[in-house]
Order: sequence, then structure tokens, then C-alpha cells
Amino acid sequence: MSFPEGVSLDHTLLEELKEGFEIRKKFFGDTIYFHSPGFKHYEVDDFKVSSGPKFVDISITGRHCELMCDHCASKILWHMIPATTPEELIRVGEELKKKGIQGVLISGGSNKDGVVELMPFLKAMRYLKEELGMILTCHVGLVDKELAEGLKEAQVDAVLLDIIGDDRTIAEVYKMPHKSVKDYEASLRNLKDCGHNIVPHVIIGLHYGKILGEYRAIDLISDFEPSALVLVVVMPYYGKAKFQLLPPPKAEDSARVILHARKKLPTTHVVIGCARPAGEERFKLDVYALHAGVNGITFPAEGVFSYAKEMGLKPIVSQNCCSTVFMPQWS
Amino acid sequence: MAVVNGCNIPEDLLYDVDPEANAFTWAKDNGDGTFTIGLTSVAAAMAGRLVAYTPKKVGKTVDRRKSVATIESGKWVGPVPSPLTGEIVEINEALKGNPALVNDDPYGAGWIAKIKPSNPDEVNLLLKGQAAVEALTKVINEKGIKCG
Repeated sequence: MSFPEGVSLDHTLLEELKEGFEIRKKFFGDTIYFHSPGFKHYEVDDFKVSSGPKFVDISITGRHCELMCDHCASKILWHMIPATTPEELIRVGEELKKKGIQGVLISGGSNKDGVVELMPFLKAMRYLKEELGMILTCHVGLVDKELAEGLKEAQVDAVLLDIIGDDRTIAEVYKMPHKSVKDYEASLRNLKDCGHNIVPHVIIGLHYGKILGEYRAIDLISDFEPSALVLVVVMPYYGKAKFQLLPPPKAEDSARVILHARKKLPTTHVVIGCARPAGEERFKLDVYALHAGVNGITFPAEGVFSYAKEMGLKPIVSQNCCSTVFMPQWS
Repeated sequence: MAVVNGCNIPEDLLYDVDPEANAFTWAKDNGDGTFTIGLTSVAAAMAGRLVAYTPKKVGKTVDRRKSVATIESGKWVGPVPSPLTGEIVEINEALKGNPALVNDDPYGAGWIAKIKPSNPDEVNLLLKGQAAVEALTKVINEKGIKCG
């Protein structure tokens, strides 16, 4: 199989990953999704979506985040379309609909308790769903019962949330020593109790580039029957100055986390999300992820789309956010 | 040097400007049979701060308007289309560690690659002087680009 010159793969690891590939073949066959949502122009030699965007992100806080975690420092919000009042959210939704946008992810910065304050926006969100007929996903922080119920009334199609599996990461990276893994577990429970489709995310390398709570987070998630699991890898250049100097986890270490997820959630869609380091490391991670049996990859590194076909997989290109992988896709 | 909306456009370089082809590149004759190529300040501003630079291999021949490298920012991932057909003879190793040099010094330390053209006639397709300034100014105005 062909891959860029100078890139070497760990063949012992590839052997280990076969177990994951067998699981995906057994439960999902040969279909693999490659996602290219509309918030980013993405064009590499073997993968490009030519038509206009169909799925975009909206931030209800603009670029503002009170939490300012070390790994992100709010930069993940910068590419999102701001809509900081319910009225603005309705107006933005209507404008997007006219432009052919069919789905939105609504998120925003967190308060100091790790909550994205969505309550005032629930009616506007319901308008986007009911009146505009949009696919509506929501990337939240911690969720209490009231917010979980409100999101259900807003008819959100899927609720996305980052799950952290170690209290030290919550205290140090997220600056929330008053919160713990139990709060994340309670959020999952609150959402499931309301009947939500949940799509937890695990950020590999979140603890300053080291693997720490990832395995526990996946174990925890597997108790709540998620609709899909999204795995991403920390991108140091997004973070605060001290984070920018740190190396992200090795692709090989991330691959072992992916394999663990595949084994823990054999019948659930496990996908690689848009956030992960760029360049050669992305290629290695994506190739390992294919071998580990993931169901989808967002913005595949150059050569990965072709590589997947050489592996015998049958690609489906989707312009949706990867968190909707369990729903019908638009290509 | 022309400056439009804060975007520098040195008039002593050759330019390939075509929005349809995502071509906003420059080329400079090194006088030894090779050309240094790079992104204009306009392209760098459109892409945003770069976080990755993945060049094609030295020795590879690329056609005009085909990718000589892939660049990545937070909002844009795409090819750098070569303004000329030719063999890649050198890539910019400094960009691997610091891709944002393209933003900080697009016509200097942020060069993308050096190529040895195999079709000298293509040089005549490139814009120079006032024609280049006008073409890039049109792009700047139509897309509302500001540099710096």
C-alpha cells in the first residue's frame, strides 16, 4: 500500500489493531465514512468536497469562554458563526437555511462551572428544528436535569459532550478543582434519562499531551449506550502558551486508545473527529485508526481516502458533522 | 513595493493569480535554472495562521497548478498550486517547525519550495509589475482581504 515517503508504521501495532478491524467488519461491514463539515475548506490530493457547505457551527458566546482551559483557550470557538442572543440565533439560522445549510452544531464557551449556558436559547433552537427543519446538534459542557430536559424539548437530534476520565485533568487543564469525573458521569446519566442521542467525545492527550483518563472515560461512556463516540487528539497549537510547546501524544499511543474504544463499543459508531494534529502525524493516526476499525474519519489526511479503498473499505463522503454518523448522511 | 489593504505586493516578482484555481502564488527566477515559489501575502491572509506545512518530495515533478505542498490553518487546508511545471529541487525545512513563517514573511523566510522548470514558456503566463498588482488588488477587494 502507498503512503508518504519517510512515514513508517509500527507493524507490531498494526498486528494488534487487527482485532479492531475484525470487530468493524463483523458489525459494520466495509462502509467507512469520511466527513467534511462546512466550517473549514478542506482539499487534499485524494479528498475534496466541491459543493458548498451543508453543516456549520454556531457559538452562542461568540469567541468568549470563561473557562479558558489550557488546551484550547477558546480558539475552537473562533471558526464558529456567532449568535449571542436567541434573536440572533433565529436570524442566523434563517440566513443559513437560505444559503442551503441543512444542519448546525450549536455550542459556545463554558462558564466557570463547565456549563455552556444554553437555557435562554432553547426556544430559538426549537425554531431551527421545527420551523427550519434543520438537523440540530448541540455540543454542551456539564448538564443538569433541567438542561437535559430543555434540550429534549428543543428537539435536539444529538447531544455532544467531552468526557474526562481523570480528576487531575479536570482540576488542572479545565481549572475546575470543584468538579470531578462524577459530574461528567452525572451529565451522561441526565441526558440518557431524558432519552437523548448522546455522542460523547474523548480528547486524547488532554492532560498536557499525556494519556491519563482516556481509558476510564471510554469505559464510563460504554455504560451509557451512546449513539456514537468521537475521538479527537489534542492540538497543542490551539492551547495556551505553555501548552503550545508540548508534543501531542504519539500516533501509536492514540491508536491504542482507539482500539480500546473499538473493543468496548463494538456495535457503536466510533469516529475520528476533526480536531487532531496536522501533518505527518495526522496521516499516521488516520492509518492506524483505519486498521483499528473506526467507522469514520473527519478531514482525512492526504492519502488516507485512497488507503482506505486499498484496504477494501467502501468510502461514503459526508458533509455532515461526524457526530451525526448514526443518522442519514448528506453527500 | 505596492501595498493594498496592508498586503505587500513586491513588483519584482512573478505571480500566478487565478481565484478559480486557488492560485495566489509568486515565483522568483534565481538565475541558476531554478525558481523559488511561495504564497502571496494575500493567500497567507486568506488562509489564516498556518499550523502545518507538508511538502511534496524533492525530486518529484509537479505540473503547473498542481500541488507542491499542502498547508493547513485552523480554517483552511489545501494545496499550494505550483505556478510552473518542474522538478522540486528544495523544500523549506524551516517551515516544518514554524509554518507561520509563511504569514510572517511570505516573500522571504516563508518561501514554499524551489523548482527547476521543465517548460520555460510557462514563465510567460505569469503576471508581473502593474498587471500583478491589479490582479491581486481585484482579489483583495472582492474578498475583503486585509493583511497584518
